[in-house]
Formats: sequence, C-alpha cells, structure tokens
Amino acid sequence: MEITPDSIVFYTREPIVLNATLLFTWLTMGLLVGVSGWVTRQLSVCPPLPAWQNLLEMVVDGMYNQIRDITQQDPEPYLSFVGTLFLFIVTSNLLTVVPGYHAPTGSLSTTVALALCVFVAVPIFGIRQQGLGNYLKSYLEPTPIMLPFQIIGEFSRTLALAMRLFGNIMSGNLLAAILLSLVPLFVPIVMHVLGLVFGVIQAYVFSVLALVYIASASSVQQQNHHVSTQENDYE
Amino acid sequence: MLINWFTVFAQVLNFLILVALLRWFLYKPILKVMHKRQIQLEERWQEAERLQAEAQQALINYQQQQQEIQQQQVALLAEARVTADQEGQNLLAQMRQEMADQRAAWQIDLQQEQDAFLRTLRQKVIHQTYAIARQALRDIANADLEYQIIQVFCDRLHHLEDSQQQAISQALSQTNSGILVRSSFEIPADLRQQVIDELHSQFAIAHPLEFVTASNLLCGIEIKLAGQEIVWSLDTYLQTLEQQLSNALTQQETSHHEHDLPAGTGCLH
Repeated sequence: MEITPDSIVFYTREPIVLNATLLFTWLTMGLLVGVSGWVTRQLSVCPPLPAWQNLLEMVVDGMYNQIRDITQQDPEPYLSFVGTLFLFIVTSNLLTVVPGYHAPTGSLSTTVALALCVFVAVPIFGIRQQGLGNYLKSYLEPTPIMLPFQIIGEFSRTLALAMRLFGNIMSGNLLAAILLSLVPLFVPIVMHVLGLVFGVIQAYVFSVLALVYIASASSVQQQNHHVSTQENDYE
Repeated sequence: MLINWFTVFAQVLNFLILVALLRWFLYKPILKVMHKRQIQLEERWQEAERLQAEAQQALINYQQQQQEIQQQQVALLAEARVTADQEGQNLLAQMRQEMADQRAAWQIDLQQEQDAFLRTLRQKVIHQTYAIARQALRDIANADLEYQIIQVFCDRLHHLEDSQQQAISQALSQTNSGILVRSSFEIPADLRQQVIDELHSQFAIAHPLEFVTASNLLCGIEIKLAGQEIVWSLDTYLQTLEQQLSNALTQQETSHHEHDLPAGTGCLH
C-alpha cells in the first residue's frame, strides 16, 4: 500500500518522473479548466442562468466575498491565487470518492509545492503592495530582535501548511484503506464521507491561512496608505 | 523519501499554469458577467426608480385630474340643480298661470251660466210676481176701487206739471181728432162725466171723447192727448216693482262678482 501517490510511477527518464501525483494533477487541472471553459463559453448576463453558470458564479462569488471579509481589502488581486488554491485542493480531495483516483494533495511533494507557492507569493504580494523597503522593514517590526523569529516563522508556517494538508489527506486515505481491509462494509463509506468533509475543511483551512499570510504582508501598506490619505484629507 | 523534488517543481509549475488558466477561463469571465449584471441591475434599478417617479408623478397628476373632475362635477351638479330649480319655478309659475287662467275662464263661464240662470230666474220671478199681483188685483177689483182709480186719475190730471200741460194744450190746439180714453173696466157714466169735466177744466177742449175698455190695462185708466199719454194703472206700479227687483238683483250679482273674483285667484301652491 502506497502512502503517497508519488510512489506510483508510470514513466521514468531521469530526472523526469511521471507518477500518479502529476497524472492526477493534470486530470484535476483538465477537469477544472475544461468545466470552466465549457461553462464560460456562453455566459448569460440576464436570467434565466444555466445551472452550471449559476454554480460557478456561486463558487466564485462565495470566494470573492470570503476574501473581502477576511482581508477587508479589494479581493480581486488575491482571487486568482487563493481561489485556485482552494479549487485545486477541494477538487482533489472530493475526487477521492472516485475509485482509483489518488488525490494529488495526498502527496507531500504537492503540498510542499503549494506551500512554496504561498511562501513565494507572500513577499510578492507584500512587495507589490508595500514596496521592497517597507516589506523588508516589516521584518524588523516591532523590534529588530524579532527578525530571526520572523524568518523562522516564515519557514515554519510554510512547513506547517504543507505538513498539515499532507498529513490530513494522507491519513484519511490511509485510514480508509485500513478500514476497508478490516471492515469492508459500511464503515469505509462513513469514513469516505468524513474524508470528504475533512477534505473540504482542509482546503478551506489551507486557503484561508495562505490568504491571511498574504493579506498580513499587504495590510501594513494599506494601513499606512489609509493614514496618509486621511492626512491629505485633513490638509 | 516522501518528497520528489521534480514532482515538487512540476507541481509548482502546474499550479501556476492552473492559476493562469483559471484566471483566463473562470475568474475573468465570471467576474465580467457579474459586473455586467451588476451594472444592468443598477441601470434597471435606476430605470425602476425613474419609472416609479414617473408613476408617482402620473399618480399625482391623475389625482389632481380626478380632483378637478370632482370639482367640475360638483359645480355642474350645483349649476344643474340651480337650473332645474329655476326651470321648476318657471314651470310652476307657468302652471299656476295656466291654472289661474283656466280657473278664471271657468269662473267666467260659470259666472255667465250663473248670470244667464239668474237672468232667467229673475225674469221668471218678475213675471210670476207680476202675474200673481195682476191676478190678485183683478180678483179684488170692485166699484170702490174703480171709483178710487178714477179719483186718482182725475187728481193726476189736475196736478199736471205746467210744461206738460202747455205741451198738451198746444198739441190739442193743432188737431181736431178725438180723444181716446182706455180703461180696464167699464167706467160708469157719472165717473165718465167727472173725467170729461176735469179734461175740460184743464185743457178747455171741444174734442170728442171715446171711452174704450182695454183688457190689457190692469186696474187703470189711460188717456192719449195729441201724442201725450196720461196713465194711471196698477201695471205702472207693478212695472216699477219689476224694475226695482231687477235692479236689486243686478246690484246683488255685481257685489257677488266683486267678492268672488279675489277669492278665485292664487289657490294653487
């Protein structure tokens, strides 16, 4: 029994390794892009809306509102990144009900890759919002003594992101497989349902945490900008 | 080793490609459509507000027009009521006038019928009274009465007015025809002589006298002298009585008319 889909290798040509993680990632990507492209091919502005368009609008609007509520900022810059994170993770987790499907999020390589993306996105969004100097200066606040801890925090939370998602999805799949071998009837169904719930929750947690990290790196500039705007108004 | 670094690199690349693809195929079109819909909703909302304002204005205009129509209706009703009242008054006055005219005509007809009836009645009463008196006098006539009639006649001849006496004398002097003495009874010879004497004493005539009994004279005597008549007869009294009765009834009718005419107008309300 494989702990991670990385171990299911279909093709190897050093350094290229075509494993189940990449294969099911492409499958998931194809599904997401295909459905999106098919639905958005003929969008209707006026009601009545097609059911698939209604579903996608509901999902996008839900993410849009969640981002706005959490960041208290314009959600548009964050929507593509955080929304894609959520959609990819949740789709991967929900597709585990399909027999033979191996969730890419059950691979530590995938979760590390996603965590690395977040790790890189945080300074990118921060620098884009605050500028390089202000972003780097934020590591020295409230006191330069905190700089090592800030750096450690950056790495540790990235690692935590990766390990949390991997551990939950991997453990869920592993537990379901073990229970399937021990109690083949009914109990695995319950565990699958719980796995779906945990998968959605983990996708939400991962996305929200990534959003919080990114938004916290951008919020200082927003506050400064808000204060300077107020000062200009007073002048 | 749980981490395959090629897979990690490939997954990073896959994720970035997925971000780009979903941005192109999902977020942009959906947000664009939602933004368009939002704009349309705002436009529709504004249009709805504009239409609502127009509807409100139309409602106000309608209410104003309705109020004006009600005022016009009230004015027209008042005017129609006044006109109807005036027309009613006119018709009532016209009807009263027609009624009064009809009543007057009816009263005139009635009065004429009454007059005719009274006239006929009066004539009948007079004639009947006259006939009764005449019959009574005829029944009670006797020698003493005839004597008294002759005496009264002679006394009248004796007391003629001067102008009448002169006119008779002058007329007698111009003619030689006889003198006719008519009486309702046969005058005895002595009384005839008394009449002759009286005539001779009054007019100094030599004309022949002729005594005739006339049944149409009622207890009386009549003499014609040159176109002049000297008469005494109860018929004269009876004619006087008839004339007085007629006058009395005429006066009574006149006074009755004067009392009736005011009472006959203005009874209809």
